[in-house]
Amino acid sequence: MSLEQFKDRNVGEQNYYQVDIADYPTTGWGKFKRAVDRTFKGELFVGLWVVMREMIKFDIHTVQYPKEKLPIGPRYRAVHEMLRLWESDTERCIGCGLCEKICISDCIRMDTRYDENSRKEVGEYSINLGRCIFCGYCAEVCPELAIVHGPRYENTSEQRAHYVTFEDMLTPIDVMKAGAQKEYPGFGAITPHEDERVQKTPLAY
Amino acid sequence: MKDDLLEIQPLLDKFETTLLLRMMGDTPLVSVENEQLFTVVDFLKNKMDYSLLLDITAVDNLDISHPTSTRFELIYLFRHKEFSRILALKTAVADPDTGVESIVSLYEVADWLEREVWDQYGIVFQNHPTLKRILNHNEFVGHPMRKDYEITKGQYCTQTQDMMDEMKPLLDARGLEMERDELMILNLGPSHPASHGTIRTLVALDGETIRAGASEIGYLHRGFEKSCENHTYNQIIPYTDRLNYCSALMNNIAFAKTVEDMMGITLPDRGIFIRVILTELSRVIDHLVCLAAGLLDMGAQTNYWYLFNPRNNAYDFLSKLTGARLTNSYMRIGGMTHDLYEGWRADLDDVLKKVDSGIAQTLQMIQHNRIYNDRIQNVSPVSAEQAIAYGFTGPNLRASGVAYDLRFDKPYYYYDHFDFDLVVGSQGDTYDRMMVRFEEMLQSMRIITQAADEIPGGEINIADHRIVMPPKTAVYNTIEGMMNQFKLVYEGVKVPKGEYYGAFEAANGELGFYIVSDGSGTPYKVKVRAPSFVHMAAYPKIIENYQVADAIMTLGSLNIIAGEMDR
Repeated sequence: MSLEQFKDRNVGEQNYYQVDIADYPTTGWGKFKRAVDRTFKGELFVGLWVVMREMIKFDIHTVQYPKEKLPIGPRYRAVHEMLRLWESDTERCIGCGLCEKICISDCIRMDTRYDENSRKEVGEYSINLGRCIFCGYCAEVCPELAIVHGPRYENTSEQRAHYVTFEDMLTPIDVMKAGAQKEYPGFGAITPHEDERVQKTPLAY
Repeated sequence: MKDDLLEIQPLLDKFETTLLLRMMGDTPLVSVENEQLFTVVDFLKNKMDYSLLLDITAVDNLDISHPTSTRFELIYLFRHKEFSRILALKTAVADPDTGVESIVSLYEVADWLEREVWDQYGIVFQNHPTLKRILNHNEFVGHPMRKDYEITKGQYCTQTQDMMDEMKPLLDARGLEMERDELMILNLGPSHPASHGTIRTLVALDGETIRAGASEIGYLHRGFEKSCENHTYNQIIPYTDRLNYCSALMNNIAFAKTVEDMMGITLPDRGIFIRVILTELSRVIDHLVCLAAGLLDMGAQTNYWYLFNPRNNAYDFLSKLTGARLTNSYMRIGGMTHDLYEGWRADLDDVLKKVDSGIAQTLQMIQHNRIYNDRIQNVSPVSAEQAIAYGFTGPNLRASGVAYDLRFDKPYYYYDHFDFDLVVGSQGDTYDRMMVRFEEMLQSMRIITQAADEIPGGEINIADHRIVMPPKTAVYNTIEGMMNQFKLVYEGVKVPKGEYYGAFEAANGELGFYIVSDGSGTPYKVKVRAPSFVHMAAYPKIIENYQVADAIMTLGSLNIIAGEMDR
């Protein structure tokens, strides 16, 4: 029943199906006739026809996964990435600790210290992906757009710890030098129309 | 509010001396003496027609700053038979070991609800038939929801129970004996595809016919309510995704709406319309899962693909919109994370078209199919009175012919402005429960189309940055924005002191959140009124005298979601 049909409240007889409500037969011949009647009703072949129709359509839904992949949206929340500043190529993270505080499953650990210029810098930073529920709150609260959810959802490693340290998540320096760091319009990021402005001046110090 | 007070006037007249009245939102809350509880509940049920018992829960006042008379208080929530009114009953429990009188003899649904309170809080209900643990393991020591039970104190429990302590009285009541009547005991589940999650039902079989049944749940219990007491309101939202995971967004919305109502804030219209669209889309998805899995149990595998393919399209749409397919975490207190993306309407229309054609194809195959009709018609029928006594809500109640839908009885989010129909069944059998869901999907799609046509522009979040996160540009450029951001993360959304029960018409029935706030950013207590929990309580009763194969179909048609049942 389509939506248009349903909106039409003047339902006539044509939409009703007469249910077989005859009394149950008592004689053997009656029972046999009824069984034959029911068995060879056309409705049993409806299902067969559907299967047949799909077979000759050759419209295959299966995605041949490693060869072809389904597209994912820009807001998709996969493994985290750490971004760098466009001006200085240094990391954006200022060690404020908001992501660690908001993390629902307590999977972010960070350790900060003062560097030789008395500036705060991040020492150890790790995300335990075994606990992470990919809710996106860390990216949402990050005031510097430093941590974002990237599109990489396929993870293999001999050790789970291999892809959760700061260095692993940080944009590689050669990618950065080539100007290939991607800004994400997705989780935790600003709206798409504000991209240009923020890329130029994320932190004007 | 006036009307609500007038309605409960007879109660006040009769028990004048002992009742203390105040309002909980727009729900009247009546305090009643411990000893009088049973009489008052009896009066409520038989004289005042509060026929639906929604929930029973307790509050542990150990940590609360204001002085209370006793440590434990019990809260009973009733719904009037005309469904728009709720009444809350509160009683102080002087001694948890003595407890209060059980009301199982008045409301059948109280059986499991009281067991849960005993399990979680250790409050005894006198004369309860089988007061034993329900969510926690039977070897568990202590009562986890008490405030002095540390959240980190996990316990290893390994022994299974044979459930004969529940089965024996059932058999005795029916005059059956294992050896004499040649009964066989069979476990349906817990780990079986047909149990749709980890649910164990122990049945006594006479041939293929079930003579008695008892269910054991709690395999997916993960302490949702305890976790809530240790997280801020916004941090709870990802947890609500995991309640009814077939319609995660709907739980997001229900929780956010309850907290917003508690704070007295309303979203801008655009936010509300987005929520309506997503709620109804979630309802469609939820019903698709229920029906597809139900049909699969019957062996109708072709239909499964016809219903699951459009569901996949819907999830692709949600993934593009929210960033995740299933665990969306899209809502926040006071709004949501993103606005709709550009081109959403085309995607949504495409999803609706596919869902519509999927439903049409499935109905074409099953509607007049003898196997489908003969297998489930007149199987496990639940009469209207029985359904209310069992505490059914949602499609399962409507299938029994009771026209109760919160979207009609107490409209929120402009539901009274949308043109759609209330779907009711007649027999309350498995067939009705499934067909009601088919029809409800079509109705939900009507709402989605109307809401998408009329969606206004403007803001999606409220303007108060003490509640919603400021935009990123404000965090960069202004000190106020920066401070708002840090305060929201560290302290959370401050909800005014008080208690509140918010009800929401979710895909499975009335999803309610009873929240107690002590004024801080973390709730003092959160209790979920999960529809699946009460539906499951009735399940072993309604499968009696039907066959094993019918019981599987009944479980599918009740749409038990273990995530919200076990919490």
